[in-house]
Amino acid sequence: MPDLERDLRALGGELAFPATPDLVTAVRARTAAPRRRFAGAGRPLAIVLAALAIAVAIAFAVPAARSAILHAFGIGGIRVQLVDRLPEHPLGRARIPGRPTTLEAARAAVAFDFRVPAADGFDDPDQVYVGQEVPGGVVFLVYGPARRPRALLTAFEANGLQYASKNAGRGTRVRSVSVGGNAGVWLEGAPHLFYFLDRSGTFRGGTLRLATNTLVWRRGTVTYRLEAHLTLAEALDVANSLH
Amino acid sequence: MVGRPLDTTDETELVERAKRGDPRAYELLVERYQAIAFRTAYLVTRSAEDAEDAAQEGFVKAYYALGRFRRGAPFRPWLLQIVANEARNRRRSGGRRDRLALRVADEDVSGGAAPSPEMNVIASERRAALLAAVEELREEDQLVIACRYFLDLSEEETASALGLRRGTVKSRLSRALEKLRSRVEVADA
Repeated sequence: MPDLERDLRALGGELAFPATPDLVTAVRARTAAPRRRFAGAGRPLAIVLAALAIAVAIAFAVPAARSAILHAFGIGGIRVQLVDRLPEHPLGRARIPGRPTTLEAARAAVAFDFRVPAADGFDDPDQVYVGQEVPGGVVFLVYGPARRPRALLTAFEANGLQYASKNAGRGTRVRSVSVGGNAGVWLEGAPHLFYFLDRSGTFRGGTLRLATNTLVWRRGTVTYRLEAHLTLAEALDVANSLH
Repeated sequence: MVGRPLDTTDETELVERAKRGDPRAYELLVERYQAIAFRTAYLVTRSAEDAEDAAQEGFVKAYYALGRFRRGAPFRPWLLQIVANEARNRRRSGGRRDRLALRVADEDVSGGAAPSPEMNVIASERRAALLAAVEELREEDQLVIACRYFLDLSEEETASALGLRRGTVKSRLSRALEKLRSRVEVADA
């Protein structure tokens, strides 16, 4: 019955499909490796995040790390790198680096202005640490007990360092997102760890481990990294509440 | 229509360039087909998040399988088959599923500013009734209707996307249309 088929086609045009996400960025990142390395394998890629400070491929000069960088792409000052193999964890047990302090003292101790979320549960961090792993300093806002925080917000300026994060285990989901108009990246999946590398590729200490999802974005000159037991929508709410 | 197939020559050339490692060629294919891939995945998963994951994974898997892709074959049905497989895998473990919805703008016809509001209301009611009738179909029938008419896929593409033989698509379409016809006619009566 042509009328019914015509109406069904018209109906298709009236359906409120969710907006199509931008798949190009993520697919580009995941397909830039030589194809034969992966043909038929389908094994999970390891993903390393690094600040977009250095174009030279000296990354992962971490002890025992000899991963080939298969591809890298930048999102708002963040460098997402796909590697064929994760570097070994250089330090063993994780800890939050630096010394506990106050928000006021932290503002005085670092070389950049950082913002604190206004979102419920994130406006008053339980502990504040300042690390000196990178030039200008790093601020860690810890929510919950320091040994087992429920969330961690890290802020630093990307100048002069590489900032790396790895994600191990099952296939990592990477999604480019907009954080208040700024580009960001959302990583979801297995537990992962991160560490700082300086310009020479030297590990600078300060490793922390949480088994949660991560949102990384840049606002002004400051890179923020939120790691918490949150969904993407919740993480975006926190990120957008910076003030 | 989203993701209308490229001119065959263009598409074959892009696929061949992608096979040779030209990243821009594959990006063009992703740009072109991401909407139809996402929507196909969404019809299967009824979850935007799962559909995005399935479409992303489908494009990546298709890229790494390009070596097995037959030169000159249409790319879109092959791609949609991979994406739909990913979508089905996610759906099986899935939780809450969205219902299909009409755009709000099309339901809001009561303002009277439209040139012929009465006609709009009738059309809108029929669309809503038709959508409700589709939602009442068995899922396998819903999917063939949705692929064939909502996404305007060809029978071959519908068969690829749903992992069915073309004859099965034909028979399911025929059965589903018959059910819809009877339900909508009852509603119209």
